[in-house]
Amino acid sequence: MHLTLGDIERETYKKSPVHRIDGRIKILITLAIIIYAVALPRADVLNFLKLGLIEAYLLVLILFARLGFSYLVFRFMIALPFGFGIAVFQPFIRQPFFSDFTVLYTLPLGLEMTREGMLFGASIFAKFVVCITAVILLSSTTSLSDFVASARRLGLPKELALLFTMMVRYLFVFWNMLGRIRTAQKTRCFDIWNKNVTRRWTLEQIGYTISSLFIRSYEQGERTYQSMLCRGYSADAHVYVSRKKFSIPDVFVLVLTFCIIILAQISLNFL
Amino acid sequence: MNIIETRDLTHIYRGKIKALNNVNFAAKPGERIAIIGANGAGKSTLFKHFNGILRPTTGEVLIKGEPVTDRNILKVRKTVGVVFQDPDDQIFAPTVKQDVAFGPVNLGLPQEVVEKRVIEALETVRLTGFEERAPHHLSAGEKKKVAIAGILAMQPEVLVLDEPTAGLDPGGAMRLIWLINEMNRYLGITIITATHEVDIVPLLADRVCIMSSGRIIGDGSPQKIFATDELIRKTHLRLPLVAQLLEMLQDEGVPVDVKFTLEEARDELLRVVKQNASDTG
Repeated sequence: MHLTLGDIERETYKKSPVHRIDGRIKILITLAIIIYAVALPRADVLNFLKLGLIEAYLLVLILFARLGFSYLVFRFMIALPFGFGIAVFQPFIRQPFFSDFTVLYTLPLGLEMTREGMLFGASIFAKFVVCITAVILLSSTTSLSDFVASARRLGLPKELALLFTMMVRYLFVFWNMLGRIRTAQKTRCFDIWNKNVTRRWTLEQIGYTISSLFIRSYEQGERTYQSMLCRGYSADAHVYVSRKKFSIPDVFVLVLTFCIIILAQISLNFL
Repeated sequence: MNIIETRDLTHIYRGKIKALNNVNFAAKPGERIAIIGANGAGKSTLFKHFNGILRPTTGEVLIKGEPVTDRNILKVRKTVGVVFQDPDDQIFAPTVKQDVAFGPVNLGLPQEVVEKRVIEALETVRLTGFEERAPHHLSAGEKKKVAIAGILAMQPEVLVLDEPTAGLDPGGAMRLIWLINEMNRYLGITIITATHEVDIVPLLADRVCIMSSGRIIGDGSPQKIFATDELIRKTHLRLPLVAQLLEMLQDEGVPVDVKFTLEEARDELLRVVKQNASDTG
């Protein structure tokens, strides 16, 4: 199984109550959850309860969004190894921000597993999982164009918005282009596991493919810029974004999310 | 034996879009076949089945009598070469020579055979001397020829061309048609062309298959296919311009038969003019 840009785009075009929420609300919710998760103490057992509550809330939203199960699993599988890679070494490192360490196990080669390091590593991983879930939810329920328009409505500078808009447009153009190049290569029997050719030759061909994409993107950039100039583009030009009002469900979801965050923070502190 | 055959070939994209619907098609060695149809009729999808880029949802594709499988895929792709519409999708190496050598190297041929094949292929498409040129410095017609040379170097028995004259100037298009016919005549390569430029169909093919909504709805000589008005209208195509002119003359009462190539039309008009002259004389 593999995941393509088209698969992500298809998920964003599904219809569900979560998909219908205003893009601005989804961006704000995602940012709020990421900031909250990152701001939690470095090592605290309560972190897991707080993050668990937020994760449960996100999973309920994912359930409402009717996202494909295999799609979700695959997206987690791509991201999680990065978080795991950072967390897994923490129990063996003496972090400078802890003054006391409780050694749990002593391993060969002078390695020591500490309680503080373990708690810190587990916290990092839990924070990572929550942040990734929030980002997957946002990116699977908001189309790229809606994301840019929403960011613009939230005050993203127009230069950045234009860059994003063009990236969204040409990401798909170049993705399709790469697809067509790969099909044409398959027609001429190219296969990265082909035993008829040397590994070095195969790598060279992959390098040529990437450089040919660079040349084509440069040429495309020139053509697009000239056609923009022909239509009156200048440094003062604006990216058109229509006005949009929040609906009652939008406000409800925003308030609900902040209530969940506050609930996680306040009530679990009394445990 | 048929060199390419499809039996009840159906292809459904993403479980929803039926791009091909029970297509039964067969090509004999040495034939020149044009597959015509409007955009989205299923021509490109059908072509991608001919060399196993796509696999049937139901039905089967036979190349020289053998069904296409993972085991014989290299043999299939060596037998059936596909030239795509945009040569930029095919040409990616930094020099013409390296690009033409790409296919033969993938087949595991020894260095000297690869060199020989590259020289021969470039000679066939009249691009000798272009070996070290960078592809992005070539004209559209030259790029098209490099793309064809890249396939020819694999010595295919069938050449499948998707919209071969798209984006070429009239002179470039005519030279390419001449080249394609030469490959058929002298190298014995079976030619299958997809196009919606009806004016070039009689020049490129002895047999025309007409596609609409994923089905082949007509199959026969250009004369037979273009004589069926209903088929042409249904597929949003038109008659070749010379045939349209002769039809207009027919409507005006001139006793001409409808022809489809310039030469045939010239002969027909000469016949009518001479007959007219002898009647009045």
